[in-house]
Amino acid sequence: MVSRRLLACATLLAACQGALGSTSSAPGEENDPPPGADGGRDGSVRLPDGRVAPPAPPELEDDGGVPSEFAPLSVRAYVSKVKSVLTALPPSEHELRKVEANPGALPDLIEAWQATPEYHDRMLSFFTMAFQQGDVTNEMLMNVNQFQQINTDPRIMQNMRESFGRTVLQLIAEGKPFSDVLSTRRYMLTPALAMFMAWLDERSSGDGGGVSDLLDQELGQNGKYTLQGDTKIPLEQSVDPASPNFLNFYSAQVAAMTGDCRKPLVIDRDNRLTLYTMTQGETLMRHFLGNPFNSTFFCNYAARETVLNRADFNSWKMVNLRQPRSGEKATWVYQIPKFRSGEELVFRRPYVGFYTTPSFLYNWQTNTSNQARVTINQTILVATGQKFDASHNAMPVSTAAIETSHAMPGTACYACHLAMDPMRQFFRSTYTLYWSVQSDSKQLPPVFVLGEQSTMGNGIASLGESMKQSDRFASAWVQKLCIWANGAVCDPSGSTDGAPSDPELLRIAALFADGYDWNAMVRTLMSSPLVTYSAPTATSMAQGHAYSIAKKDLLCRRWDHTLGLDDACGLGALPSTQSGDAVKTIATVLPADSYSRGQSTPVLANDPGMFFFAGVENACAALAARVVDVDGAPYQSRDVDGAIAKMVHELMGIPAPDDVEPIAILKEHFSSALADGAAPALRSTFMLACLSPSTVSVGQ
Amino acid sequence: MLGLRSLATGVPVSMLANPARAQSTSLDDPQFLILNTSQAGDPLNCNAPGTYLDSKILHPGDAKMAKRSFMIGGQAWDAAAPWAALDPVFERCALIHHSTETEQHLHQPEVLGLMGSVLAKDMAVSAFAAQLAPALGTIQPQPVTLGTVDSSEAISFRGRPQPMLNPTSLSTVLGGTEGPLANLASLRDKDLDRLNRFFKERGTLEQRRMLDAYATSQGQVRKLSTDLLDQLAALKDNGADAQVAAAIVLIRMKVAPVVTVHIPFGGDNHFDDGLGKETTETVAGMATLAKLFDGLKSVQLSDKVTFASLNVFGRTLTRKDFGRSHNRNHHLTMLVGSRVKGGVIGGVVPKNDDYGALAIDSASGRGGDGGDVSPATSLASVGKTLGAALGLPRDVLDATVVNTSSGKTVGKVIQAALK
Repeated sequence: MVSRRLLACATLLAACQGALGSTSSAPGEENDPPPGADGGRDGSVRLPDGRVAPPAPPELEDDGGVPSEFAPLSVRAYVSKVKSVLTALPPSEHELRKVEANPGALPDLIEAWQATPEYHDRMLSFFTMAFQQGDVTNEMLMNVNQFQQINTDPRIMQNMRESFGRTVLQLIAEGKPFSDVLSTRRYMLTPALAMFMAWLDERSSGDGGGVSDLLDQELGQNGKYTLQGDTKIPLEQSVDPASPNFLNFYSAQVAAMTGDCRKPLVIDRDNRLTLYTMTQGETLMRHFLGNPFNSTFFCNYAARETVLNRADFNSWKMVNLRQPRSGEKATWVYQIPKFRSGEELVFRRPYVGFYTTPSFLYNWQTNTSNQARVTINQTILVATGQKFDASHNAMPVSTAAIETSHAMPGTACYACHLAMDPMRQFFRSTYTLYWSVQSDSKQLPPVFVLGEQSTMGNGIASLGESMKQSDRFASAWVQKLCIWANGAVCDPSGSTDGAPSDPELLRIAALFADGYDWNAMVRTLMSSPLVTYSAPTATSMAQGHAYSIAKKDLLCRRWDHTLGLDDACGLGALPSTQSGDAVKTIATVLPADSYSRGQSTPVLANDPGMFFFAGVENACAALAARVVDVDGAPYQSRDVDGAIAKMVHELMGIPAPDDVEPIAILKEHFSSALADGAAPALRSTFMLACLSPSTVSVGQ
Repeated sequence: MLGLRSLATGVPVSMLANPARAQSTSLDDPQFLILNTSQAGDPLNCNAPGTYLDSKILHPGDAKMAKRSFMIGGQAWDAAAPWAALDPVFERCALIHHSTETEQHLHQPEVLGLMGSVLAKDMAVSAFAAQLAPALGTIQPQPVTLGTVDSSEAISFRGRPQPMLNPTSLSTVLGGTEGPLANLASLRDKDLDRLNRFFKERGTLEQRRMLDAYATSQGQVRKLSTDLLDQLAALKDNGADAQVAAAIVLIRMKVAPVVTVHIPFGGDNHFDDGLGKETTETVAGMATLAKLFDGLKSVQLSDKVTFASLNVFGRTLTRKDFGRSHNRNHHLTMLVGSRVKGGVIGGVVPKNDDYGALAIDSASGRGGDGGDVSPATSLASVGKTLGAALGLPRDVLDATVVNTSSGKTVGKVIQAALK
């Protein structure tokens, strides 16, 4: 054991020096080996022709535990792993040779990958998951907002889930520090999402429940609006209170109807209350979205677009959200031109950081008993990876908000409430239990208590500013990204419960904390032995190396990119165009990255169990019908050699010269299957490639 | 060393030396398990037999939930009318009043792990599944999870989260390919083995382990009985009825020793003013259970499958918030199976500002002071009792349900719940 630790320390030092990231290229041509090198630092062996062979696998007894000797991952395997994690694409032969020649070249490659749309997609997926924005459902919205209709437009739901991830990407693109995720008041919104948020904003509920619609109050007893298909009224007039056409909208949807449904639709206080018991804002919003009412008792509007158009769900802009100044009115739900212009919007509810977005607040909704404890707990978990645990908390500067009826002094529960109760006041003093603006002046002011910090808070924004001071913010996000890459906690303890202790992770976190340059941190971590397994780390020596199946998002993106498909798994908002699509059905149950309530570690479903194999096999069969011998598809039986080479290089991610044997296996399979016809034979060959371990997992 | 530990813990040396001893094919009448579990902490405990002895306990006022009398274990008990759905199985149904000692939703995995009292910090049903699988001859030892509401209800097996499935996806996931691609399946298997070998020859030990696991899963898929897949294909929704129907099919296919489902009985009903949701879902949930037991009977599996219901916690027996709140002190576990003796075990007593479970006399099943199963050890005892109902030997249970720090066995089998 002693010798193993000594080995770990020595190699760790070497690894850290390497991972600090010399970004200089090797001398000479790109494919030249570094002078004097006989073999790779990963244990690989240089061949006479200059290529590098992977290290021989260690001959170890497989007792199911951590191997007794460190065995580095080959350059080819770890470059493949890193590129796959970051882009869902395989590395090229050129890229592999570059790192084989000079392992220090990996950060440069990563930097190039970071400029691709595929990296953007993968980071969007990561941020959506890690900021816990992706799980909000229509039912959650209904619970808090007391909807009268069940189905919120799925495009709005998708916009809501993606909004903060896109916000983070935009902040990074603007060169802002990553810590702005805690304090930003600018968000990426679509016009449709902005309109939906305006509707949420005008719907006010106190702690006691009930709904007061502020637009109803604004319009008064005689307020009404019209949708008609007779006169094309410019939208600017329809939303201008000074215009005679105010709230008279031209609707292409109504214009497309016949019979009674072609008549102008006038919604006034009487019919919206007696027929639909909706508020003015809700009916208006639903008309704009094109799904005004349940079509079984009203006109069945076939067209999806009414006043909003398709682009209103797809055009993202960074929008500053602020609260009204004295005497100023908030942005109303009908002010569509404002939503489209991307100018500043005025909402009553304060929006700041990741923890006040609709997708976060409705996911972590609260009640009279919980009093926003779940919300503050999840906020702290997301930002710092810490749970409320009295063992490391300072005494709060004020204990007035502690509910002794919920937890008695001296109990373990009380120790947690000591910090949680004063902290929950960040939410309770700002929002009601229904996330409307809090008007209860008796709500106590918030107190920030985390680690050694305890300070009085001042509004919801001060929560973000205090979290920025946490010494766990940087390490928590390095850890989250590391877990995402490896499918395992990057800590010798194998747990995120305590303070991080892997020296390499702490080193990267320290670099990250100096300026919070996200993309630089990605480069450092992804080229670190924490992820590449090219050298021992404290984590790998204690926990071994983790290998995982490709989780849902990665596998689906891999299929998209390598098969030329647009949303193979139907992960988008609208139903797949493939009727009865087996891939979409299977994708719903593929293991995915996600966080459970109260957990600082995501669910790590890494194993290739029976259901995974069966599901992927059937998905591959369904994909075979879409990508083999179909017009425009990548694989055609008239060019079997080309198709098989493409399968091996792109789908399986095995470039030359390692491709010889896989190509031979696939060609032999095609030949053996040819008796059933060329197309079935090539489809079966595709299935084989699609089921290859390198296709369905990470790091093989 | 093992001898000392055996003396200290009361666990036989043979078990300490090899806790997996029970993983043999020699278990006497091993049972499959269908487990109903919910992280919402449904109010299943609130209108059950044993909660009508104290008139201060709150029950829904709806006529559908009116009090009715039932004979359970030779004794008359009052319960809400929907419990009549269990009439046909009351002679093999034990209703255990106990505590899960938590009021936090996020402790759902911990409760299934008997609050840290399962060897290697596994979930009890997963530890039992591993022990039952060889004797039952199932394709995989891991439990199958159906109907989870979110990842907090995911079942882990030896610390590894298992996939969260649903009835409508099962036939698509498990159904084999058709036409020419089906004819080529054995050829593909052979060539996939070649690809696996290609990667293994280049891989590290841990990469090879992953490849072996992948090959194992491939072999498991090939063992699936295809003639039952049509029944899975007939399931058109993911509701509770479909979940129990799917569970029966999966057990007939011998897919796994344990299948978990989520049957709503009122959910997290803080705001259930008038207890309307509790009423609706209790009526529907009990009807689902009746369908489950009818379904098992129709395929001659009543004596081969044990049913259990274990949630993260029960709910307050009095009004809190606008409905019911979390109750760390009271929960009702339901066991139904061929080894289970009908009866109501334990009871409730006023505690703090609500009610909590009484201590249980494990021999008689009576609740009250002096019971040898305290509320604090009752969850572990329920776990052991479930294990015994599934056919696991006592020494195996003693070695499986332990204080993981001291190694001492925790809780005891509640014999009164067993035949």
